[in-house]
Amino acid sequence: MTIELLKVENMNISFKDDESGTTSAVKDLSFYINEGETVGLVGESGCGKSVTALSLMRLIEKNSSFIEGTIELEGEDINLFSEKKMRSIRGNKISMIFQEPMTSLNPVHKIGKQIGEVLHLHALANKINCKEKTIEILKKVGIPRAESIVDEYPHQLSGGMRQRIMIAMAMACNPKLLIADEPTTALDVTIQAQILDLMKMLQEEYNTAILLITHDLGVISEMADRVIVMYYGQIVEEADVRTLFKNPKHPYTIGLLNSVPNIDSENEGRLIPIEGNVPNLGMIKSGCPFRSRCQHAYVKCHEKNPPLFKRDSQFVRCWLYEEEGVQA
Amino acid sequence: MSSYLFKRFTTMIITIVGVSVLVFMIIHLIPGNPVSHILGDYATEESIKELEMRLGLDRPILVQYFSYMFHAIQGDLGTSFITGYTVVEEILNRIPITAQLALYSIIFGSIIGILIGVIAAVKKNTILDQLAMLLALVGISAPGFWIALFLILLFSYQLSIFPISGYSGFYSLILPSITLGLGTAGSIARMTRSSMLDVIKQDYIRTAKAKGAGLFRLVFMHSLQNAIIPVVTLIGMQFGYLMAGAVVTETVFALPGLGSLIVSAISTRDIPTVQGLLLFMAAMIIIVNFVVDLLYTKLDPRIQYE
Repeated sequence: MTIELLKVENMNISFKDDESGTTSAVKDLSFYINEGETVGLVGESGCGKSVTALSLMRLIEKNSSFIEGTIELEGEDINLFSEKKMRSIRGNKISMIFQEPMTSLNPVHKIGKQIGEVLHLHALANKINCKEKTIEILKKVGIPRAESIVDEYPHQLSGGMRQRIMIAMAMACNPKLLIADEPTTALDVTIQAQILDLMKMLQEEYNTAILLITHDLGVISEMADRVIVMYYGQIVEEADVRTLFKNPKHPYTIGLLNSVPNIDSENEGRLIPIEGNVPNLGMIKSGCPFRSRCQHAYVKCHEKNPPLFKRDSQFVRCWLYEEEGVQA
Repeated sequence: MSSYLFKRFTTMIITIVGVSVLVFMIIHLIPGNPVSHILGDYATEESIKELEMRLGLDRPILVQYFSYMFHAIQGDLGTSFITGYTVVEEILNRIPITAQLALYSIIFGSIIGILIGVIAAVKKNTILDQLAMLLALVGISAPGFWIALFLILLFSYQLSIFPISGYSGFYSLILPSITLGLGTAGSIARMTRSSMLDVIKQDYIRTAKAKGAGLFRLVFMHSLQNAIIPVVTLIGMQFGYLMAGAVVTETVFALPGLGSLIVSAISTRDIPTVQGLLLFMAAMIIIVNFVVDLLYTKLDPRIQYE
């Protein structure tokens, strides 16, 4: 039986800007994550993936931004939580690993102290057993000579090792949800595979749900159960991983898949890029934000932004599927 | 580490030798003959000649310099023309006051400066930030003698909390330390603010937040240690300004320290005292900055001296 862990409904994220009030970064985002499930969040730079992730933990600057909508974690709307209550969630029930392992660890604190801090903050260890528990966690994430590494500093470790430390830190409190924002982007390929394997292994052991944010479709195909494709701050397609790769529907998703090398490609090994760039936030006032880059765009696309259409378990935000699907 | 220490030590010695040459030259180039100053307006040509000979001022300047340095290396900085005490004695007599004054004002300036800088950085672009930076600007720009007089008027004359002048233990050093520390506090506050603003943006601060750390922990345990290095450098450099500031402050508060000693020595053309004091102060500044450099390795594990 699947149990819903996180349910985001109608989330809007906007930032204050100097001139025209606010700029909307994420629009009307709704999705859910089940316990133990891996959901991939895909899209180009600037499509709102990272902002979404940071907002789930309320880590974006609260003076200059607004998060609207509900973010339910195990049935409680954490968007209504006080900052103090939110702190008890961070690192404990929801934890996060970031893209840059080289800069994500505090350079002046020892590894042991940094991991021990999470345990200490969420009262899972006291002064006496903290080091012992830290070493235990380090061993679990496959760190060799864990006993001596606790007394080392981040600059003494390689990128891959540092990302393992980040994972150790994130998994220290057995979180319900792990948000991984481009966890392997800064690593080389062999290390990438190791890190992904490690995440999978820990997920199976603790039944942790993972929200995996990446622009790397290879990583998605390996890790994700379900995929959400974002463009210009909204979901444009959502499907389970097999369906999405076999039968992508949104022209943007198709474009993304075509721009990745594939052995069985019909394009004689040639990659087809998506022309143009993601428009700047606030540029598009009406219509489908992808229309300027879309080969199939027609009149309706300029007039009205399409809603999500549902067909079987696949959701697509495109007028081309108006007939086939039911409006979600 | 040992080769680094050796290198640093050699440069320190070269610097001190350089300073000694400069000090020697400056003193011998300023107009006014010390001997005629000592003997007064009615001195005869012969008595001047005789005293010059006795003090060794008739010798060529290079000879004077090398003879001075030869003795200085052995810890003999000469004898005061005026008081007849050795310069080393004079320094040892007066250093406790100046050392305390420097220490208290550095402590006062650092604590106040770092606190104000941290608050300004955390509350960036708010009224509090602007107020803090205005305060820092006042601290930097207000002249020491003016602050001193203001503090004396308020706390000694009006409120009678502290003594107006003279040295009578720790209590009498509070106002002078505040006077001297305010400028330091201002510079430190500005440096702390900009350094903190830089650190707060770093990825590892976001990581700490994601771990569930609160504001206090973020600021004092994660940001400050990373932001403190340029501040510590500044504190080391401030030590030089403090020595200069002590001259004014000690004079205003009539404290018998090194600062007031140098003022009286200059006005009486007491060459050995002025030379000895300048050399001593320069050496102190050089040593303090050396200690600061060694401190870096304690504050940031990435810094290693090979």
